[in-house]
Amino acid sequence: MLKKTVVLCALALVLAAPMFAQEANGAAGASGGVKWGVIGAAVLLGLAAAAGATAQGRATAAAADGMSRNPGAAKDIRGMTLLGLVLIESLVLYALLICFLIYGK
Amino acid sequence: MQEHHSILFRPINALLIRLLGEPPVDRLSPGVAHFLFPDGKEAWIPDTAIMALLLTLVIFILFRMAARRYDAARPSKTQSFLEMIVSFLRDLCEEAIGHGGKAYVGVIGALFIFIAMGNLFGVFYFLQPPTGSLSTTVALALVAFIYFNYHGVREHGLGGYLKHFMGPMLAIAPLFFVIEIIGTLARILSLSLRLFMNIFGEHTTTNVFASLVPVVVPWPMMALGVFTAFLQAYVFALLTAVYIGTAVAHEEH
Repeated sequence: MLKKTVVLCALALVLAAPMFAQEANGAAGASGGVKWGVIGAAVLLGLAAAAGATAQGRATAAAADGMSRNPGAAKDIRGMTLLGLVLIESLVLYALLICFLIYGK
Repeated sequence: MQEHHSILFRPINALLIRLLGEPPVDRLSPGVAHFLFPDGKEAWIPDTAIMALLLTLVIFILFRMAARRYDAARPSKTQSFLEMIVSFLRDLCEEAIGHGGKAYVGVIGALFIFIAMGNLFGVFYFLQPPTGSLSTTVALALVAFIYFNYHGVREHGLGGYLKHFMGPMLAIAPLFFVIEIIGTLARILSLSLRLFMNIFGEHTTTNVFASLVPVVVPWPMMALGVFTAFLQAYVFALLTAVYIGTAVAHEEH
């Protein structure tokens, strides 16, 4: 198991070697230098989406758990769950807005 | 991303240009010109405003027709459906605000219906959602902000309402005051941005999908768009009701 993991990691690194050449090329080739706006937007959105998905997954799991334990309260739990999901979603969308703003820079 | 205008954009602006000439973009400073006429010389009224006016007209006509045909003894299907919506809004207000919740159903219901139907405009190809533009959503958020502050001041008086911002202890009042003011102003931002980004993102994603594969692929995104339309309207109305509730709340001693 450990040997397989090591072999897989080595293979991934070897296959990713052209990336190093491309990075140098990109840094020199872009008109003003490295496009930090695009990189920043990608990193930001990836992190925001990951955090948002984790939070929403936990919220949904808790909601399903509560509804299964107490089917009578299902309606109230559903209302609160939807509100919570939407509020978490809105935070991810604020990050998307910033991505739009920094994308061109 | 190229602009996709609604079906009313060209005719109305062509008519206005024929009547009034071109918009006086040259005679204004660039900032004012961009604010008043965002499309430059080709449009007197931007697409968002046309769609918002159309939405107001549609809501007005539909609800006037429904009110005229109101029959308490034998409700028709439309009337039952609308009564269901009104009772849903009334429950929402009572749950979020407490006793006097029914007094606020008017504005909260108007916000809910405007936003829900406005978002639904995004599903049609020949229309644009008015809430897909920051202008409309900030306007709606400002309406909600002014409304809940007005009711807070009406209930407690200006001094009493500001005392709510002081916090529990007098010692930390200055710091708490600043934090509360910023938090309350941030409510405008959060309400408007949440609605705008949801609808704009949904609409843009559907356009991208439709430009790639026109027939079957956009349908799940459009279904999600319909779901998001009602959900965002519900959340906007609910949050406004909660803000009203916190503004008019009388603390039980």
